[in-house]
Amino acid sequence: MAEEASDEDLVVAFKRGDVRAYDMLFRRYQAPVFNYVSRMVGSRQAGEDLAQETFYKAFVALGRTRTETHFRAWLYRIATNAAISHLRRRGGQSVSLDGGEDPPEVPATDTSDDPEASQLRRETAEVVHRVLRLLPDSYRQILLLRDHHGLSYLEIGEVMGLSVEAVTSLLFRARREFRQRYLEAAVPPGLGR
Amino acid sequence: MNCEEVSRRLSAYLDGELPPAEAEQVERHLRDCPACGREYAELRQAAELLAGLPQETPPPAIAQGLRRRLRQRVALLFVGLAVVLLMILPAASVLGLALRADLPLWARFGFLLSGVCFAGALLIWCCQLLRRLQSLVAYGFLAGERTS
Repeated sequence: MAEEASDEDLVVAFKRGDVRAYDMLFRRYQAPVFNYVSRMVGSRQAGEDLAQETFYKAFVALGRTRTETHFRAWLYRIATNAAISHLRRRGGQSVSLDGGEDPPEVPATDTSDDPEASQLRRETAEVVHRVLRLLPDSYRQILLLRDHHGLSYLEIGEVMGLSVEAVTSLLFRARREFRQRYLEAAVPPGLGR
Repeated sequence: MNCEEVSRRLSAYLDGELPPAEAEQVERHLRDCPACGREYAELRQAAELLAGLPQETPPPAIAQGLRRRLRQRVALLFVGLAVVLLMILPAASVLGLALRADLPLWARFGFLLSGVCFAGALLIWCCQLLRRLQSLVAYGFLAGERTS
């Protein structure tokens, strides 16, 4: 099975007993799912456990479900449920406001030659993480799904159990709230009003 | 479209999720209305900030942990298989009752039917367990090869 095979082809192949197909899906989605759940719960360590749980549940359930289309949305729904359960277990508090014990990291180095630009990007990412942690779970979820992971409105609707109209409205409110809090939290040169 | 109607559609416009006719109306409005234009720019900046977050490399612990959990599931399925195999004994004894000549014919037929249904269910269950076991073991080997 080729690396560039579509998700649908890989799901069908896995259901026919080709476990290499699941391995390809795992390698394809390991990083996005890990980043998503880490940012949802605000902890790298919990993100590791939740990503693992997501792929375990997906392995067990994939053979039994009729999921052939929209595998990505289905996988993100499992990841989302795992993250929300984790947040509930933590006692209703969304994510810790001080960054928690091990917030998702912002890489210390990047490939650009300009150290000033690199530092600015790093600081911006830190502020974005901080602001995300201040938002309600549903806002954080929809912002990550759309703006960081690039899911379509239809896919987001499947993940969150919402109509496309509700996704449109929630995303608009989430972006506005994010922008507002970002302006309050940061003084990023060139990004203010 | 007035400002309020445009404002509600700005996010979808930004993502290219509006029908072409509505997108055109929003675009026209944005050209003429500085306030909505500012709001649109702000939404776009918010989306760009989130899109620009760096992608962290996942630790190998995720793949290792997944393999460990799947191995635990293999062990659990073996226990299930053992239970299914043990249940062959009661199925066989029910079928054995169908052979007893001292029982009335209707009772023997009843035992035969029950025994066949019981054995059939066990067979289906057994096949499902074996199929799950096969894919779990195969994936365990594959993941082991990849990480070794």
